[in-house]
Amino acid sequence: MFKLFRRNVKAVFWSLKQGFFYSPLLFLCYLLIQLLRATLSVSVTVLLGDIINEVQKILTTTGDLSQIGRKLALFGSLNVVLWLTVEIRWRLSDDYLPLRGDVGATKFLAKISRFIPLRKYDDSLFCDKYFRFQNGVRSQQRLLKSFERIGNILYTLTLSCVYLCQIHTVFGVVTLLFFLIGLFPTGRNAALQDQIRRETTAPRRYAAYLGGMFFGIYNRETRLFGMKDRYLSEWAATARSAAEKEIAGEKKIARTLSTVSFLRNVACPLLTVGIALYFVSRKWLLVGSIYTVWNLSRSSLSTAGDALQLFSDCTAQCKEAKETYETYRKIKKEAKPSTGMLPEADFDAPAFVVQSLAFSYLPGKTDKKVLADIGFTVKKGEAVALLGENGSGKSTLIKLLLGIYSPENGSVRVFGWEASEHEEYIRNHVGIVFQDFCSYPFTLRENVGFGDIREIERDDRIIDSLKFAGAEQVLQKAETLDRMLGRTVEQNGIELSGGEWQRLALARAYMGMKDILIFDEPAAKLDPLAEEKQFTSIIKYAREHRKTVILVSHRVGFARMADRILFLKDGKIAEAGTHGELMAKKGEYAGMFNAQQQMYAGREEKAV
Amino acid sequence: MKQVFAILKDGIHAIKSQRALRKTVFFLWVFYLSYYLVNMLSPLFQSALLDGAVNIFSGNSGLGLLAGGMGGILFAGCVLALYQAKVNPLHTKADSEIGIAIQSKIYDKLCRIPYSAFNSPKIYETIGVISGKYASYCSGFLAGQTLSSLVGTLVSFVFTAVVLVRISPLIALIMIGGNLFGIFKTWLESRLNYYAVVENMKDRRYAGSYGGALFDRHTIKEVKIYGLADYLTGKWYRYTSRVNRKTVGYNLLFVLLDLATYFTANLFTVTALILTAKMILEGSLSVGAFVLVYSSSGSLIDTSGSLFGALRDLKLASYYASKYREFLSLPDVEPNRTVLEKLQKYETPLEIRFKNVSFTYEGSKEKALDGVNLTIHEGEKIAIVGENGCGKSTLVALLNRLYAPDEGEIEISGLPQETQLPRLRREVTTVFQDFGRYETSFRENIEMGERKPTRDDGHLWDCARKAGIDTRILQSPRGLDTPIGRFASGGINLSGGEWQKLAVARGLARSSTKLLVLDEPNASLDPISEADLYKRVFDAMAGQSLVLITHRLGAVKYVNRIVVMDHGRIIEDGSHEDLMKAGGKYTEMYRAQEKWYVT
Repeated sequence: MFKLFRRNVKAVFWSLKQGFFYSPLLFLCYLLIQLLRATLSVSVTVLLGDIINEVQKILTTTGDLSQIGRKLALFGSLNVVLWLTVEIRWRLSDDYLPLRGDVGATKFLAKISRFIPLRKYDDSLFCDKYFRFQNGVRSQQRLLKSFERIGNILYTLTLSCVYLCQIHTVFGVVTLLFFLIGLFPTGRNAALQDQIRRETTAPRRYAAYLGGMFFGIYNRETRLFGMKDRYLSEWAATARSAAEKEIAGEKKIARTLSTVSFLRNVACPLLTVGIALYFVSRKWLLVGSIYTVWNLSRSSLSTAGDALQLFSDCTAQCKEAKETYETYRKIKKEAKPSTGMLPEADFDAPAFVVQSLAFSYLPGKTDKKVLADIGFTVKKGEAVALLGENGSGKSTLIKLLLGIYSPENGSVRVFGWEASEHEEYIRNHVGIVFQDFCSYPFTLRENVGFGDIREIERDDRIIDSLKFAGAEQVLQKAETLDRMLGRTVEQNGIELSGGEWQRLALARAYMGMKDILIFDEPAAKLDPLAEEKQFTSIIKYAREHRKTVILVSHRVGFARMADRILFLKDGKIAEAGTHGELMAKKGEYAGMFNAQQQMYAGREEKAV
Repeated sequence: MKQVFAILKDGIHAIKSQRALRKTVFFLWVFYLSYYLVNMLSPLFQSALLDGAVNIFSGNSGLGLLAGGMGGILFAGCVLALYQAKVNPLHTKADSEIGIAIQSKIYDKLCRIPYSAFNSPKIYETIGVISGKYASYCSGFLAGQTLSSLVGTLVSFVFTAVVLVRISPLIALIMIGGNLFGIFKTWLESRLNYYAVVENMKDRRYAGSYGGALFDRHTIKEVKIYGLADYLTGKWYRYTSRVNRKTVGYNLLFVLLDLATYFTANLFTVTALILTAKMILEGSLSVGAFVLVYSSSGSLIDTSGSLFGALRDLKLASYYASKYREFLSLPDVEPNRTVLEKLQKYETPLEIRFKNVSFTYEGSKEKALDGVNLTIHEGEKIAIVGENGCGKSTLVALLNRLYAPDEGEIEISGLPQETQLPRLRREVTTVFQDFGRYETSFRENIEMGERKPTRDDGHLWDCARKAGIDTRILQSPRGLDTPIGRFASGGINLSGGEWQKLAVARGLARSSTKLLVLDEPNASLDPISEADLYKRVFDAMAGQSLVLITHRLGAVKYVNRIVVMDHGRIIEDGSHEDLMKAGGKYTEMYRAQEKWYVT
């Protein structure tokens, strides 16, 4: 119990600290304004009661009109300042602070994302958690604000009570009493709100997914498959069910709010005004005090209502903070410590040395290994083709070569470095085109320059890379490197075809003249002529610049260009060797080669 | 103003459709209006209470006034408590229903407008503005407080003015005069706010897109490998801070305006209060009047503020409304469901004829299709080949009439294509290169091809087998009902090749298909799966037509006609043997691939 509490306190303090340092100065300003506002709002009420008393004094016996005039002038100026603080507070809390907070939080998140190893993104459980973490970080400032407002409410309450006690102790006590009664239903509401959120998350997410069916490529298929009405009714039903859950919860919450409202607007005036009237009739008090007493106790009760809301918000936010903090700790803990000293890279050593490598996605839980007992060496400057059927483990092997995954057994060494331990350093020496490469809706310069961010301003390097990838035509179309591509962000952007985007992904890999190039299906979207050109130029580039190339492709014929072929089957290297050797062996590779050859050969026979 | 009525009309239309909703909205209005009524009367009760107390205090009879004031305060309290108990759930209900009604209309329309509209960036802006947001505006109008607060504040403004005039016309004049500047300020603010929203849209879009790339699951791989986090953060910051700077600038101006407003309002209020005090001393007013005047000053500031707050909402809402109208006024092209359900089987064979068809994408200089003449007879197996960007995919889009030709005509069995849309949707099935990945279940992914969801499992398994995804389904824990993706717990992940096979299975599922179009169905398949897929698909489609678009020319051995495209034109058309003899583009492309398979 104590342990849990201690952990929570730590998490909350961490969140508060984070929230504060996103915009320390602005927050201090906000704090000051809030304090001023609270003080002024109490003072103005008191002052007005005082003025009414003054008026009454004149009515009965001796009073001074100039006294009233002075007090009124003070009252007016205080009022101006009060309204102004209200306004500034509103601007600060609704505009300035969220803006600064969002900037701070995003910067923090960008920093944190560096600690997250890439393999984590394949774990959908982690991704959900990480998504909640991002939301959690973005709401850290809200937690801070909630705490500040609770503090503010307590301050207002104290101030009001002090004033009231000056009139008569009874009023202070009564007000405090009402405040406390108002707090009773708090815990229940917090739980309810939490419940609503939990219950509606799934349907809301599903509704958003269904809503997505009306946009982009899904719009096309929704039309052609005639799914529109089915999606519409399903979407409406899902959205409705979420709303119904929310309404059921809100009904319960509203009942509590109504109780507080009743206390504030019926019970409180009945008691305080009653007592005040009695005092007035006894001539212990002047009439103006009725006004003061009633308004002060009323406003402190209204803060009780706010506090109610705030406490429930805070409880939920603290829970969130706890989870956020735990995820943060976990990320930090799992982040690889910077090793500082690096083993000397030996660029004449083999580019890859893989020894008895084994890997499975759920170690221990399943007998089936994705990769087992893999061993091979790739010399510097060698071009190796990696072949195999769908699901034979090629993509997984590439992730291990890049150090994205850690091997379960065995080792992967890149220029003598252990891949999974020096992931970051390896990346500086590897250019890669993934099968599902990205198409950024940014400028042409960015799309290519991202391959080596240090050279993003060097036009010559970018143009060279475009040439290697056979993408000069994109530059011609764009006219300048700084033209935006795609039209989702910039309306004047130019549209590119799938083949053109693929060439840009290749150009990206050529940036920075990296020592190792990995191409996963680099020509999937290219036509026969462009495809041949692409493969030829990849090999030519590698030979000319003595770069190591790993080529994954289903187009078996082009594997012949490589110096060596590795054929994967069921997570193992079934065959390795040159095209000639493997064909002579009449094994797996020959089988696949023949399957493809037959498509051409069969036709040739007919033609002849 | 016209737009405001438009919003009202849309909202009322949404409410009309449901009886329960009408009741909900009616009660909401009762609550809103009684809330304003009670707020309006409160100062009167307070002043009555004080007057009663003073009267009793000075020995006169004031018990009636006192009791009246007290009773009024308690009554107002009860009304407020009731308001608190009921309004939120009612509001959520009305909000969700109106939202569903309006948003459904938008979604529905999205699937009926010409698909070519999505090629223009304008549509994305329109959708970005209205989708989700317009619904909340409509419901804000009718179920929320936009309109009720307008009515409520208007009434209470008049009421307060009348009360003040009855105390003293001079005081009333001073009090109302003090608020004139506030009215001007809110008007100005509403204009500026509107500009701030519209002006920042582009920067927000840029910021969103750079920031999105930082955290997107798809881009993260490259972002990390290439170390782009700093760069993207920097870019994001640049655009965000530009938006922020503008917002801050506007806000500073608003604060200055506020200062001026409150200063003038309070100057006038204090003057009025001093006058009141003087009149009380002279005996022409009671002490309660003092409270009344003060409370009125607050309520005048409040009401004029919310009055113009409401007007500001109106101004933004009218912007949304005009975008919504603009969107709804786009033409409808898709046949509706009743037409499709009543469709009888067509007796004539399906024949598609392109007559001199040209098409140019919006904003592009070159023609994507340039005078295409092509006839697809029923039962034909055709391969369309050509270099990247030669117009193959555009041809498929026009065949499905996702786009309408700029020049020339397309005929379906001798009739104009635009009149034959129901038939087209029924008899042509296309598996696109960028097919959809539905994260539901195997069953839904496949049966979606057929319009009616009830199909026997045998048919689904059959399609799965032909597409070569059956073993994967068998291996999955719950067979056809195994969830795929993130939405259900235990959802499995599919590889690119598996998704592709699933898309082909979906394409095969529709029994009314007479023409199946496969756009690069083999891009992520290995050679053995590829050959298997062709064999089974071509067997399955033995009696029907098939159009295959591919870059792997080995596949053409399954077809009996090859169409070669280049720069939007058809340059060669014939059987493999004919084209090889002709020695043109096709021969060049075929040889380029074939030579790698010579042993």
